Amino acid sequence: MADVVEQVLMQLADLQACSPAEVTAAYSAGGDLPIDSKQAEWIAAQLEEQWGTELLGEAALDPLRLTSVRSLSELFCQALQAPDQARPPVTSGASA
Amino acid sequence: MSMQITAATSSEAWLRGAAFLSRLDGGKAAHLCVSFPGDAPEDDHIRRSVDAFLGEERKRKRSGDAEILPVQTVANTLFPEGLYHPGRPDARAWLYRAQARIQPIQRRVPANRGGTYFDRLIACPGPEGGTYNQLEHTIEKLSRRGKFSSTFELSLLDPVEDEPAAETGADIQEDLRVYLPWKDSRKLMGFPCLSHLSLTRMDGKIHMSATYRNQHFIRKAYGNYLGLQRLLRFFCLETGCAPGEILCLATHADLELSDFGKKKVAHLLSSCLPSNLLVVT
Repeated sequence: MADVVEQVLMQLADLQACSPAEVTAAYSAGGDLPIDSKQAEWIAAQLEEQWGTELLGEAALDPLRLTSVRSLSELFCQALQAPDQARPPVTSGASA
Repeated sequence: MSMQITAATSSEAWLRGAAFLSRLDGGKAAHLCVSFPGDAPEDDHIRRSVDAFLGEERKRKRSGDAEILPVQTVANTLFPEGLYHPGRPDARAWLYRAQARIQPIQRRVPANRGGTYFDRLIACPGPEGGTYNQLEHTIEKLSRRGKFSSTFELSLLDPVEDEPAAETGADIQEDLRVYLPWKDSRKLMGFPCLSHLSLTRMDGKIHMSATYRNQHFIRKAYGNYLGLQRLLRFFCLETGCAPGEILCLATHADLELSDFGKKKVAHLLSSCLPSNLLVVT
């Protein structure tokens, strides 16, 4: 989960045009970070391409589930643990 | 038959519009027109009340009911604020790319397969294929023709083929097409409810008008107003203008009493009010 959170934070920093350290600090300070569902979809699109697997299926695309870094990371972890999904390597520092 | 409401905020506009509809038989009206300042912050209390109501109704949602979404999600269909970061040097281009990037994911939900209003604004399908970025075209013209006037009418002209016909003074008027006759005219209901956006630049301000052919006042209107405000803010940031007035015309407005019930809607409206005024009798 921590690796996935880290990747989500990296993408969020890229989207918000700020430094990963800034986003990570905000996440650590509050224990989570609110995001918008469109931001969540963009992060998913980036990581799906990097990891080569679908992270948000139709059922997960509920705006009420795409509200924070933590909830999005949990959805990604669930998708990665699904039996029909190949587990992709999580690489640090990647950014589109 | 028509009703014009002028309000201090988008929240108040929604509440007064809903209160007006609640006094009509069936909660429906033709030509409900509301206006409010483009830069007025929303009322947090009213927003929370509307979102709480929508959340409760969403839980109760029966299979086959039309979608009930949070205000933020409705606003996002017109302008996805989370993808726009004006501090970025290439903010506009970035926004367009980001929206294109999320399209394949959005379209995994069957209801989104036709795209969103924002998709229509940045990638409007032409009658013979290809797409056209109405937002970019409008921003370029608003920026380029700052001292002149230009007008073109959405329902009569093609936005690609027909350049503005007239320059008559110091003001500018621009129109953006959402309803596409070649694509949407066979549908009796559903997307798009927003048909037309019009921008007028006058005295350093941009004013916006929007026409909805059908506006669901409980499910959508609050989020529609919020989305219009965000879209206007985008135009203003990108052209250096100040936000003017937003005017929203619902050619058919529906308080959705048959879906949500008169009592529940009355309770919602009462909960939005600062006093104990009873809206529905």
